[in-house]
Amino acid sequence: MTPARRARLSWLHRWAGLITGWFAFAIFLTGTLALFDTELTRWMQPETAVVPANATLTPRAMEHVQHILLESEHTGTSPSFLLLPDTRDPTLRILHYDGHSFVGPVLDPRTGDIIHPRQTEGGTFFFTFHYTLRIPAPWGARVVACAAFAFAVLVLSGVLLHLKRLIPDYFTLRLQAALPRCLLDLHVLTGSAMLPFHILITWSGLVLTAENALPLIHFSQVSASTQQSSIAQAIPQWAPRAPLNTMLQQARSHLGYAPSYVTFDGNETTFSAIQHNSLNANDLSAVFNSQTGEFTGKTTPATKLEDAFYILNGLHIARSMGNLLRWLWFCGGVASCVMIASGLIYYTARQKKHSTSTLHLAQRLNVTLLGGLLCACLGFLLCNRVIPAFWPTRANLEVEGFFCIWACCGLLAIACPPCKSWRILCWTTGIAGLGVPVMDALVVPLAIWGTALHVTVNSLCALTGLLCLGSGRLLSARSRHD
Amino acid sequence: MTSVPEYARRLVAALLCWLALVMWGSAIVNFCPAITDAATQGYRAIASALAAPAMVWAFWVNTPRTALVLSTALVLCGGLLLIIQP
Repeated sequence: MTPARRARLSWLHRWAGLITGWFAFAIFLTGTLALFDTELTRWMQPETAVVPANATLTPRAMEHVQHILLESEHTGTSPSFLLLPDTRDPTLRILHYDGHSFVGPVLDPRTGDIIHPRQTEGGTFFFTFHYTLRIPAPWGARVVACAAFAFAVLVLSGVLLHLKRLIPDYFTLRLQAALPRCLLDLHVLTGSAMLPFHILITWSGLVLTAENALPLIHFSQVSASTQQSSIAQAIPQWAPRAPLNTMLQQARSHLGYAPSYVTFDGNETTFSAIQHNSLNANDLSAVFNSQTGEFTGKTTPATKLEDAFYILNGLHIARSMGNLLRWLWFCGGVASCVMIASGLIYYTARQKKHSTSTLHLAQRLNVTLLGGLLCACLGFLLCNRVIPAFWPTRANLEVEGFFCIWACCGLLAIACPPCKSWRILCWTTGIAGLGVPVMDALVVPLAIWGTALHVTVNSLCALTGLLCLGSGRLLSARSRHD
Repeated sequence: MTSVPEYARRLVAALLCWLALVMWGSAIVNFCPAITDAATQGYRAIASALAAPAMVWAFWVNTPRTALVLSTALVLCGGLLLIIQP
């Protein structure tokens, strides 16, 4: 590669990274957490731990569900859907969209009794943040699509820049070297070691956001007329009259899998099964007449092209994959976050001697959007334990808490010099991380605190906290040395 | 040393490459209405894979003029295909 070409690619990598890196970090961090959204929701609702992992769904519970659905229809609630118990979440949930999030009662699948867990957005908060950044529709999804495009350009330009040293970079990490060198090693190592993951997740993400990133231009008025006809066909009666339990038994035999969720659309009740331990995101569905309970059909088998598309989706959303692969994806996501963060901090560390307004802005944005977001995520989990369980609108308070903590980090970055604000933020995040298991121990009963779910979430928070405290100590030592 | 206006022209060329993908993709999907769903999915999967190389290509070529001229030509051809569809 000629030096001029290298310089051009370097410019593209630097500026595309600077402009979209912060968005990419937020998308990757929340996406990594969203891999375990169901588990996080369960951790954030410790009251649901009364349901054992192997609880079986009984006809009595289904009858109670049907009763609740009919009541909801009478009160004019928008159509609900059911989340049936599975290995990731043994509870039975009746959810409907209230304009902001999916809410509804949580039931014990053995008895049909309502559990009354604390109100929370749970892991869904990270999932929604991942693809909308909590920016109102459709702009959030568009910003994410643009960031995905820029990230694809960043990955390709980065690979071209480091192509010659791709293999040696696997074995290079000089932690004792000067900060810029150490950061660059970390950036290149995490980038090259997890390169297949970066390519896969970026490409599948692009395909998922393609509706916004690669729109189709039509000159006809088809979409408007279709929309009008669908409005005209809306049926107010959606709750099933036929016994749900009978339909569930039939759906099991028709699908060959235990259904994972049930949707109600007009006169149709659809039982859908996620193909667990597979990469295919194509859910198998059995459709019944809501009035008579008669089986009306199954979804037609997907074509090879459709299957390829569903596998690409499955590889990104990781909903149907097994635990081992999900943890591998989690490690990949963490590596991506480290790669982006080290790249962004490297830019400011390298130019420390040339003080410019861009550098000052980048330093402050790094503190706010990298350190601040991590602190806010841990703060979100802490808020869940600190806010009383039956406080009205506590779900909103948790979200407000998340953004308040993030805003405080922004104010800290403005008020203090970058080195000092990094140190304060490292200590604060460290304390928040270590505070999560402590608060969990204080709030939930000891028997629940010892479950695998709580041990895993608490250990990861504590590990993050310890790493942040270690980074804070390292920063203090370096600043004394300088 | 590469000047800022040159980078600006390359950046415009990169955006034109994206527009060309949208134009060509829309034209191809509109040309086969019988398989719209499959064609749309196929177009999006392929265009997503091509997008990054196409945008980096604008910074790869030696002169910004080449990048601008070729990407503009691709956009115009795609637009023409989109207009002349049955």
